[in-house]
Amino acid sequence: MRAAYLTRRRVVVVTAALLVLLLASLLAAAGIGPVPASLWRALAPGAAGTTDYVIVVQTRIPRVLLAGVVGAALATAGAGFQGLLANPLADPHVLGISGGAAVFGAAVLVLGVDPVSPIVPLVAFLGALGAMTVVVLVARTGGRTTPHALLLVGVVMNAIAAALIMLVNAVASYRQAQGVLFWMMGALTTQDYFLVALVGAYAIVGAVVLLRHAAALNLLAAGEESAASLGVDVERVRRAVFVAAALLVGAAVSVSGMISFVGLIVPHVLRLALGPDLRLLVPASFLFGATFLVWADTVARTVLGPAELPVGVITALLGGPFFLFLLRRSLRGGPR
Amino acid sequence: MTAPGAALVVLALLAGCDGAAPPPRAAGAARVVVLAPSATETVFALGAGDRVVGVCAQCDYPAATAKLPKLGGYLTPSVEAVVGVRPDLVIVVPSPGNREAVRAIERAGVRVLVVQDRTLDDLFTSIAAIAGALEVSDAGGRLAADVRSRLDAVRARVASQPRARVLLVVGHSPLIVAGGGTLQGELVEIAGGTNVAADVGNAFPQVSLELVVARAPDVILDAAMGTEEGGRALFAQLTTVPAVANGRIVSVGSDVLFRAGPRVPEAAAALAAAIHPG
Amino acid sequence: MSGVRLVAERLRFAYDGRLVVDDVGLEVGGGELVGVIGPNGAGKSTLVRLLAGVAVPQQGHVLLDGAPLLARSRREVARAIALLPQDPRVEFPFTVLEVVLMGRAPYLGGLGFAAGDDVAMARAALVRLGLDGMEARGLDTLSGGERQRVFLARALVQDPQVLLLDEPTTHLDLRHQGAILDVVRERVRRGGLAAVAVLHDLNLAAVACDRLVLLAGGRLVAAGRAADVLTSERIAGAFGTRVRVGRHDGSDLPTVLPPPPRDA
Repeated sequence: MRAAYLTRRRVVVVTAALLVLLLASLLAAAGIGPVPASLWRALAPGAAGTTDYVIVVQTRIPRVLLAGVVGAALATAGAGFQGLLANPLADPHVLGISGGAAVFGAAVLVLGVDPVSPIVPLVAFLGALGAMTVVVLVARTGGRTTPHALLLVGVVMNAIAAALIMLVNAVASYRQAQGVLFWMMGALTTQDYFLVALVGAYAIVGAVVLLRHAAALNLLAAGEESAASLGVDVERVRRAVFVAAALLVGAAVSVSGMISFVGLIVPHVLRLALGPDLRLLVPASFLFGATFLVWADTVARTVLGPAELPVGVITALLGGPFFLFLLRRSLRGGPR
Repeated sequence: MTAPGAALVVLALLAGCDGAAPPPRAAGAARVVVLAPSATETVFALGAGDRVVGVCAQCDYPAATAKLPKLGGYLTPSVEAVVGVRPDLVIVVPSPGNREAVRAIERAGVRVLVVQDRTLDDLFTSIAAIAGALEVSDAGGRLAADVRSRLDAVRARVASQPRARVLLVVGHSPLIVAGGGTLQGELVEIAGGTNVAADVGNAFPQVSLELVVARAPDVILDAAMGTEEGGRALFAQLTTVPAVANGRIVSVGSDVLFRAGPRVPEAAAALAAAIHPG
Repeated sequence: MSGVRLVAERLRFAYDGRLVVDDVGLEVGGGELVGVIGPNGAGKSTLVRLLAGVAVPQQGHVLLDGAPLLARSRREVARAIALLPQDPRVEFPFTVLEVVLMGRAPYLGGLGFAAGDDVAMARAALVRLGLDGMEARGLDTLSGGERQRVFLARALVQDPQVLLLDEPTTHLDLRHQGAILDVVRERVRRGGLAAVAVLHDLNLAAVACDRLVLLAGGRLVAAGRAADVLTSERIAGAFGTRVRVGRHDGSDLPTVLPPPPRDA
């Protein structure tokens, strides 16, 4: 079905197609919402100060863009982690980074900081960095960082984070605990173009770093020894990939809470369609991850009429059963 | 105690377990545990505060509650602590978190009275039920009448003013507002406002910012956790919303607003002052 | 034959407190196939990893043409030495051609995209190993013998001067065992390749290799021609079992047979 090997040309063609799909999606999503508002009227000259303008330019476009960059970050991190762990069913939240961000975010919310304050994502990101550092240091034994060790340490970190969040909720008032829960469920509401640009730049840098190591990760799929004998500095590549992917996840969770399954489903599905070569999978995950979350959020903000659902609910409802289906397929011995 | 007597007591206890009005007993409940802040206020307002032997951790009004033992959280009562003070009656408000605890208290043979706290009607129903259980139905009637008349006074105060379009915010991020069918929505109406989110889904729906722009409230009441600055920053850019353009984003204290107790007229008055100042 | 020379001296490697390779030395030059034999746990695989530069010895060194391996960059080493690891697998469904092209990695810059020449080399290797027509198949759809040949093709397109094979024949049936070693011997003889192969089967080692190295318990027990290394005393000492050593008809090439059953 697919070509015998990956050419530069194929990467360019597929990436271009996905880029067009993303741009079309952004445009369409900017015109869809629980409230009728015309994209064209909003962007017409002299529209500043009308409700169309305020709705589209002030609230919708930043939100759609944020969905895009967060989806891109999560999916790209997922592709990186799946390559690093040599496991097509790995989810970037599994490595404990998200837990670190969540704990710090929850703590700062309970201390009385307003959820819309920029302090929250900043502190949450510090939590992500802290968790990442702990995982890297603890998982490294005898100078080697194996996928096995990373996975185990990550699972434990998540368990500790979950316990700490329960502790935070227990000492907080009922309404504060509810607030923490809602924050963690994920929200892409923003009016801040600067924030979107920041996260976007971040996501691009992270994707570029992963792309630089994509060939080496491909070689690692045949095992450490193979890769090393082909000239790969296995330890350095593993650390670089882990750090880049961890920072991507950390940024995404700090800004938008825990949005699950994007980092698992998008790279997995793309691998089935495009093959396992990460030189194509990384840019494809970036663009398709963005598209995916833009549409998931569009559904989240329109499906219940004037009310909206947390976007994490949509991704979980889509991703959960799909993940079970993929798991069954893989257990039955289907192609991995 | 004779066997038929014991059977009668058991039957009485069982009958009390489903929360229905208990059969009259010789001397009303003397040792009362109240596990909800709103119900605590009601009990004290009925003049039965001296019978309370334990309250939940969040029951902080009136001041007399400070000296009472705290028997666990509002949502997570401690069964041991409650049974340990040997109450005749335990008053609870249902929530998913305390269902097991309530069953355990019932199984320990303690009479449980369940009251609701979601709407204004719930408030009056619970006043009657609590007054009945404490055998102070007259005080109950007087309390209900007092609450009603104070609410009417608030209505009267703002009757001459044009109704304002009001949005009551209870969470900043995600943005959560008070919808229709809530106590808070009803108080907004009493205070001379029209709840612009009355038609939006269930009690406290999450909504998008663009909905706020579309509904264009005249006043935004901010009862969310967080800071005033946070609330103002959230809406500052939505310049076409009258509440934003005219600087009518008002913080309202949330303690009384979220308690369906006898102080709701104070909450209504506070809302009225915020909606129709001067 | 002149050409490349790989020399290992006094190698010592410990893992988890256990000494796996203890003072082992080995030499191989272009045009030679050296067989490494010994019981399980003798340190054969570790020795091969040390020779490849994939593992770092605690003592001793490996010299490639007189210069220490560790002084060179990984890519330089990868261009000179190719490793066929034990029981190789690939976690993701790469195609046969993609796996073989991985062998060109040490020569490719940037994102590692293969040029026309690289693809041609890979295809030629597939033909040489009887795998043409399978280039677009997923590696996971191949049999064990076919997979082993794909990885040998990968090693060959690395264009190495030294080829290291870790148990290349262990899970293969007779026909494939022969096929693999035939290709290796051809490259050794005609291409001036230096090769070291860890072999499980003593008779196969005796027939296929120019020299043998016998390891036991991490130490070098014997080295030299098959006839000198494969004596019943040496084998009994290393493997802990009695054997009968015979001769192939009319030569001094040994055959190693288990002793007849005790109840015979």
